[in-house]
Amino acid sequence: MHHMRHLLRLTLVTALGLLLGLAVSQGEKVLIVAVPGDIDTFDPGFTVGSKPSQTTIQNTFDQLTQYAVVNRTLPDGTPYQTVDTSQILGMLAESYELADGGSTVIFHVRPGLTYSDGTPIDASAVVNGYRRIFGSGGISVFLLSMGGAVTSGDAFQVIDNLTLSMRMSKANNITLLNNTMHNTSALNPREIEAHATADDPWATGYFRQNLGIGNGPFVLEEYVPGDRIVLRARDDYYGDRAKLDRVIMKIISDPAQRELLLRTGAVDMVDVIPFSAVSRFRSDPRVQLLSIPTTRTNHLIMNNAIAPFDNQLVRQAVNYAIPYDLLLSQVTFGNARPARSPVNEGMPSSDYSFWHYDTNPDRARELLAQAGFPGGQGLPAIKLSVRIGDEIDERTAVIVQDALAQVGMPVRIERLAFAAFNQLQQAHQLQFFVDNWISWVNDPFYHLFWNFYSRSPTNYGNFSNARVDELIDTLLLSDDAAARDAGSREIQQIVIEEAPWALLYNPNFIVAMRKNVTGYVYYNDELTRFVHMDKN
Amino acid sequence: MRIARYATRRLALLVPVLLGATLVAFLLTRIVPGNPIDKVAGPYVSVERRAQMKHEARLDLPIAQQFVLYVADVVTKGDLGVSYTTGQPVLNDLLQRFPATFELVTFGMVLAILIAVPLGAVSALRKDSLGDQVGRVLAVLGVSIPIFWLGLLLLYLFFFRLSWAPPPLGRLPPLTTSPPHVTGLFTVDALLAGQWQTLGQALAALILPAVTLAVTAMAPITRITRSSMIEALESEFVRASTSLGLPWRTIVWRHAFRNALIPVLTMIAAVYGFALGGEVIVEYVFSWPGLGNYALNAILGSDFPAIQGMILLVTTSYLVIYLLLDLSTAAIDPRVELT
Repeated sequence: MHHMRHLLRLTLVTALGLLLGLAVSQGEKVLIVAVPGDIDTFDPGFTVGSKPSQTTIQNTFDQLTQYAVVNRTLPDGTPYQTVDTSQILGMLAESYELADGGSTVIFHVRPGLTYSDGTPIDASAVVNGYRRIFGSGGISVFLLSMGGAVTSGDAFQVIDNLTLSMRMSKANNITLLNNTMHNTSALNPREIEAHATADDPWATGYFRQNLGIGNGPFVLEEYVPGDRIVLRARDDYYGDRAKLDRVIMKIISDPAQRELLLRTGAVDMVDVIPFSAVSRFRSDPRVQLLSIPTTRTNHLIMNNAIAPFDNQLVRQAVNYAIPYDLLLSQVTFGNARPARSPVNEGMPSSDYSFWHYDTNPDRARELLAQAGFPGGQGLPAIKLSVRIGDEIDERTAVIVQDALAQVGMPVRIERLAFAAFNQLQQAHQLQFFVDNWISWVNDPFYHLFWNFYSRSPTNYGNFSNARVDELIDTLLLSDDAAARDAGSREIQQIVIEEAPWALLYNPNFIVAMRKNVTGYVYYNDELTRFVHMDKN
Repeated sequence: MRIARYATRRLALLVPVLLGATLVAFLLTRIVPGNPIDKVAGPYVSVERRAQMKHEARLDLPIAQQFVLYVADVVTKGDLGVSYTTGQPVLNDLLQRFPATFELVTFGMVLAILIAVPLGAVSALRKDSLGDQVGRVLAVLGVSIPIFWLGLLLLYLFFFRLSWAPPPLGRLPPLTTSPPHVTGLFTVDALLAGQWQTLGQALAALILPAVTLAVTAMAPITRITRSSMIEALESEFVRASTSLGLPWRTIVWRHAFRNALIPVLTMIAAVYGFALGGEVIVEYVFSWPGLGNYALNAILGSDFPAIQGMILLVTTSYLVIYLLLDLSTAAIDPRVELT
């Protein structure tokens, strides 16, 4: 009897507590986002793989400049917001101007800015941030030094308290684009100093494990590894205060659970939606879904240095054998556009007029015979590698395998764990594989440099063409718009002809949110900026 | 005193066992293709910087030397290295996640034992009755139902359809802060702090994953209880006791059951140790921030330090569980001598 009474009391207390909790949280605007993975580093200079890492840094640190937000309309007529990458506006810098014939950029830092601990942000803090990037050999070095534009921390100089300059090897418009990314975030100089050691003067060990004291619209309130990342809006942010009070990025590994949680309203937004779930979201009146065209491509890379793909005719045969329409309908369920050039629609100078590989198995067989493999006779063994667990890539591989078998080209699908795939890919040793790429900088030469320049570390298919290299060498860093446009088209024609890849499609970026969530803005880096968002 | 001496000696055994386990982990991780530097460095880092990172991680040294240096770090500094998937010290990672897994597995096991042991015993007493048949069917189901399917089914029914269970958002709802850290077990910490609401939420979050775990753990425990109970009931000492006219209740519970319990305890220890090694699937389905998810990511990312740390932890917990098993066996069975 006594136990019963105790239980009843416990239940009452719990119920009351729940009600109270509800009342408290109603005053606060909290956005809960289900994300698939965890943080791998907090150092803005070293983020590579983890989107939650990048998103956390992007929302807690501002950069010198940013892209303009614009209104656009999706193909289905839905209005949405994105950025215009041709308009670079101030952020921490209230303005900037070009000097020395365009080879120097002068940034004017907003007066009165501070990090969230009160440390002033002046020209020397920003310059120190860039020196750290070069001193510690971070990822951003590779971005800023593209084409040899900015190769050392000395390129940044303090002019006066609020003015700094960035000297480039020549006038160009790619460095400024690279400079908007979260990797260029300047860490707090006092904090760097406090955690520097003799072996590690830029405190890379510390910032890998700890998020720096930021200067963006949010601060990191709580991080529970493997569980959640909680951001809180800063009241003393120099820009408009975020409309949301808190953002909780909740780590949910299983895509089926992410879907379930959004549909029941347990979370407000889901990052990374499988194409196969799109139609289920569309039929749910409580959920809004944006399927946004992007410049990402999904493609097959044929290693131009490994037989039989050292033979251009074989590569062209593969291009003719691909059932493009089938991939669009069965893999992306219509959430993609056909890709018809290495420079995708949406990127300046994109030209689809060179394309001639519409699905044609007969032509593929002919080309295979011309290459010396009639009916596939004499072909070496071909392995088509995919990452285990990547639903899209695995489906693609099966369809491609089937289509190639029909033209007399048997391939074996090799499923590799992420680390093994990664190692072989970075050694440029995979023979034939499914991959995808998005250029964070919306510039054709940025894109062509990483993928088709013979000495690029990410030219995973070992494509090599002297003319393409020459054009990239001269035009990567250039402000001659007409020459760049013509050069990009020439490269597109060469790449389509030599067919180092088989272009499959440009997938859309899918965002699913509850109906009461507003203000999502699509950026090319596909990182959500919560400062624009609201929940009603 | 005798027990303490025995326990100390058993714990000393940890040293060679752990060394052996670490060695195996070392060799296995380094034979499998893939290395963590490629993941951390990405394609953009220069060749020199990559080489330097490899050097800092000692991956440029011969395996034997790497092994010796690793063991030296563990022994002298308690340093298990830094994880490549989380960027945090492995020791912190493990300490952070172990309580989550321990709490879930313990709840699941208690649930399983509370159902499985009586079920097995009753099955044995009423052999071939309807109840026995039902028990056996349940046991077979427990072994044969895929655990992820069961987890998804329970979620679909009790969360999505009926809304009785809370959403699978881990150990606590997103808006609830964790109770003050004492043990890391949220139920215990909430109880200690008198946070009844948090306690309720932590228990609610535990129910579905613990039930999922219990269903699979129940099967072997029920079966072993049943068979060893039948064996005990058919043994000579039971027959002798019966013929001496002892009450049936006393024979069953004081003599037969106590004897039958020894293999049951062994089975429980084995299942418990196995589940503690990372209940990967249950944790994945319920977004439980425990060791299973951690181990999964570590293995996918060739995260050598994290994998090694996991193996050390799992080995240690097995040894501790078996030590407890031997001590309890000695307490139950007077024939067992702790020597």
